[in-house]
Amino acid sequence: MMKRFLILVFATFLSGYAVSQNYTISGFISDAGTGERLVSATVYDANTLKGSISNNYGFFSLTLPAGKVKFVVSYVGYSAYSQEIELKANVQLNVAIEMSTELEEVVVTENKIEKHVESTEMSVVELQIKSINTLPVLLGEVDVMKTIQLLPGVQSGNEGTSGIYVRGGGPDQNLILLDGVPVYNANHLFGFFSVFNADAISNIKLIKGGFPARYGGRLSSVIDIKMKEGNQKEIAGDATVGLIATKLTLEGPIIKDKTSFIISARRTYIDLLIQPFIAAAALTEGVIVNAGYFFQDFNFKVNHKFSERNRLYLSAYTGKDRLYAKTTELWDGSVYKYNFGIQWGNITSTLRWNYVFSNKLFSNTTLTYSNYTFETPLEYYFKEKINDVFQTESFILNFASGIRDYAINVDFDYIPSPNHYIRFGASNIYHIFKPGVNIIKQTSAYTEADLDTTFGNADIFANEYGFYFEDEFSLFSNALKVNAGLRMNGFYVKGKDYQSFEPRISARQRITRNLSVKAAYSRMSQYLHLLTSSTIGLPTDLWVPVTDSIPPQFSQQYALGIFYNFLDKYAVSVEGFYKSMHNLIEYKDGADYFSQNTNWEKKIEIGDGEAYGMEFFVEKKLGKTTGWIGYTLSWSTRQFENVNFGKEFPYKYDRRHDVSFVLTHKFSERIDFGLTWIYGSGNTTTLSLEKYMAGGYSNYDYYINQSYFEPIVVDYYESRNSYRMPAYHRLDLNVNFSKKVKYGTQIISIGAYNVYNRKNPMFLNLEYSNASKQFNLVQYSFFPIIPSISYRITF
Amino acid sequence: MKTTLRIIYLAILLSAMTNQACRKIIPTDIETKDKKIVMNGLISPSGIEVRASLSLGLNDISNAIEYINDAEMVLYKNDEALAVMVRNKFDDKGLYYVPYFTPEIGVEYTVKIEKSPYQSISASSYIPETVKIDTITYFKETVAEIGYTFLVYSFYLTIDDPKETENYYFIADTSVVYDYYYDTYLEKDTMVQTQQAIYLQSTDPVFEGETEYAEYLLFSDETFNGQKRSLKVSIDEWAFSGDTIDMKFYLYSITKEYYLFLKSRALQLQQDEISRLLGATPVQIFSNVENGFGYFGGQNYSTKSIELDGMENNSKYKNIAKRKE
Repeated sequence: MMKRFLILVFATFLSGYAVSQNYTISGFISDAGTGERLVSATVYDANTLKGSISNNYGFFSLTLPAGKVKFVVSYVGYSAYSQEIELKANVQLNVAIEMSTELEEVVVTENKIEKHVESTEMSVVELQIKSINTLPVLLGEVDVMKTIQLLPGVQSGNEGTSGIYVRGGGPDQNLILLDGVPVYNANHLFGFFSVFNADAISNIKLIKGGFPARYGGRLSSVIDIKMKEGNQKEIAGDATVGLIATKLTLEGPIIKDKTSFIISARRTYIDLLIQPFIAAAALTEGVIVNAGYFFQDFNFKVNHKFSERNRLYLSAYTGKDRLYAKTTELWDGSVYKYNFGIQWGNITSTLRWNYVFSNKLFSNTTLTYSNYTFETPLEYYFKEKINDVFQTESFILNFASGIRDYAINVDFDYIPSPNHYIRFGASNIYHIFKPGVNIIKQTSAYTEADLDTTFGNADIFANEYGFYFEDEFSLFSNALKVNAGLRMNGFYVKGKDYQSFEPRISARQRITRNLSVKAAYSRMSQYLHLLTSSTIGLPTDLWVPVTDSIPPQFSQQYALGIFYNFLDKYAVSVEGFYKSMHNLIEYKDGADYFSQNTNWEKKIEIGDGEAYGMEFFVEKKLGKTTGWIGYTLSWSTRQFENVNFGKEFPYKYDRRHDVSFVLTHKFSERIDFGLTWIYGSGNTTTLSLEKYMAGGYSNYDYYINQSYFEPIVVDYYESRNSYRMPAYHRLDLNVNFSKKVKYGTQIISIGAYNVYNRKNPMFLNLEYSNASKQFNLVQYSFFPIIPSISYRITF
Repeated sequence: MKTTLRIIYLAILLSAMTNQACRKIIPTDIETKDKKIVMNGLISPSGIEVRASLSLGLNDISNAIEYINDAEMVLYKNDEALAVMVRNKFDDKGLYYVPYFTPEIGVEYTVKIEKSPYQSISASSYIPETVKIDTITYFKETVAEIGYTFLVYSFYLTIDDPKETENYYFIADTSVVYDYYYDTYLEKDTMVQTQQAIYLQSTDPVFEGETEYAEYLLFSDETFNGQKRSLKVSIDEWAFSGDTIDMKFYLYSITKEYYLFLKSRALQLQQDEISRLLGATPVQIFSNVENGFGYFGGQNYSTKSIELDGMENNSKYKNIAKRKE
């Protein structure tokens, strides 16, 4: 029996490679209005329901038997494209599809492939920037990371911050890719905004589990963000003035249908507005002050189509946050100058070459460079008049840390038949880690010699490499579809070569046309750690590599889910997951970023984590009313030998229940409305409710023991993260009023964050009240109801 | 007009961000915990001493310790009752001992404390073997820190760590000051010796992650088990009084539990408010006391002294030198 089964499986496998009168339709799918390539569009033959999807660059390949083919392209939010083809030779076909402008719900009654049910992908959500733009936002700033936080399995950190925690993982376990380049610090303004300017982004893909072999390097998620390519057809633009920032985006063809560009810039202007008041106030004290804070982003991309087979992309991003304060005091001829600041920022750049070797083989070669830096410069300069003689003194202290990467990736897509989609490739990243150095320069008339010194952690050089192979194949007339792959990762640092082999498999069993069951297993490894002691996205969080004494993190994740489509417009999924994580790091008790004198490797503990739970997701993508409901029930714990006395404890963001309700409705061409409501069990925290005397001198050896046996009252903490804060919930609203004007469309967005002014906890503190003569648990909340307004014009 | 607009803008923004951002008392009863017995005990070749007190509730803001002066405290040796511990009558702060008792090295002792109506507590420990300081050398060096340079005395203490066991230590020091006074009874100059603990500091990696600037430096043999190890410790020049002649170093061998207690206690006390505000998790203090709080540790020590050079000009040194002759 088993033998027959194996023969059947083998025969079915081979059938994909059978070459009997088969021809290939290949080409690119793009947006008819802008020429922008469309990712993950479904292409299929409506007669046989054999199909494929377009890859990250819009390329598709569909090999079918000779004969009549009803070739269909479908993509959410776009009108379906259909063409009858008499297939008797290979066909090169580039399809441009129109964005749907129908307000009525689009109901497709003909045979079609429901990607949600059909694909082997599970734990994956794709977001389009169009839907993100409708949702309510904090202070009027559209933020893709905060939209991702609304998805099941994804939890936010503290209120208002952009940090994300996927299926019980840490903030460092998310591979955030901007055009294929890892972004190490995705935060602006201490985490309250992300670095991604929504105006420059085309689509976002979040993978929480069932990772295909082509992704590696992080344990918990992949957030693949693609920048727009630039309008191929006409010059277009977008300008927004919000409460805290202004944005400007310009895109268009340089050579129509061949070369296009997009540039986008954003800058906050609180500092510019507030600066005159600070300066005026300081001047009354006789001090000249220049102080403020801003962040800025700049995105740029250009691409050129050399031929139907060759296309080159060059993209870059640079962003910076800067908090600064400069003061100058003049007094009786003496000058005193102080300069203090904190600044951090990312630079990423990508040179990408798409080449179509044949109608079945597509390649993508990418060279990338990225640099994340964090600096805290501190300077002073004195010119003092003492006894009618000027003496000068200057001092510079600069702490700098960061990480710089040079990378090359080569990826191939080979699509021999509708039954097989093969991907393989290799990558290499050369990392330069700067875990933190201090530079001190001092010149002084009061000291004998000038000081010019550098100390701190030495740079670490490392090489990360990987190879992968995966095949998505169909069995039993496509009833069963499997994506199986293997990834080999390696990391060479300080003479030590770590390697890991990571099997990945995800399978889909179709039950009916609208119902399937999926299962996935993936093993992941990670060679980078993030040292963080804060609960917000501070730039002091430090990226460090594995070393000879700090091993790589690795995880194993199992997922099982049911996927169902009903009424052709609702997608429902229920997924369960279990994830074990090993070699996680955490600061030792009492250690933190500020204890710079200690080597970072000595400041950490290594331990394990575990997360499991269930996610429920129902989504409506089509029609006037769209949105989703997500619910997550989960547990997440950590265990370190020397933390919490070796006992398991809840993770900081262990959240039992997490609910999100997202709704958008288009009343008319002129008015659309967005609403989000979220609910989450409270975060955990550690509180001391008892005290005791620890120490107490001994009479023996009294003369030396008296000091270290000095009786001191200390706090008793029963267990780490044993207290749960009050639940979190919030309602946000947003209304967009659009109006066509002669040069484009103007949109006024009016919204409110935390509409019913819920006092959500940021942190708790025990404080003594003189009135009641007792300690109270005091909750601090930062975000009350916050109205926002922004003006946007597109042309 | 521009200024007016700016003021309106900032007023909206700031009122949104700060005025309503608030603190709120959570109407939750903070659980009132039952008081527990606290043990602070130490056993060494000199004897055993245990101080008994009661824990404090959150609302005991005066931190006034309630000592237990009428506890029933029994010392066990290898699970057999050895002696009833008696209160030291010269101390009214719950200090108990066993008169004329010389503990044995390496033997497990257990202390049990009972005091109605509180839950009984117990803890066990032993006295580790001593480890000797083989040699001490020192030199003076200039150290640069941000904006300053200063002179320190740096000492190298060599120890030979036993291979068979995990060992835990701390180093303490005293400056030995000789003084003399005219004894009216003896009708002549009389020399006295006093000792004073001095703050130690170190950049030696063996102390990394431990307390780094204190009157004692904790460390373990994790990185040099069974090997000879030279430990570098330093003392600021200003810490010496002009009358310092000798430095005496103490190498304490302590039990693992005592080491964990001392280390975690120091870390909790050192944790600064900035870290706490930014979300750093508070430090839990280790305890080996069952059903209660505190510690019962064991220790042993060896000493070695070194005479400091460069004190020749000290007039007292000359007198002492004469006496030594």
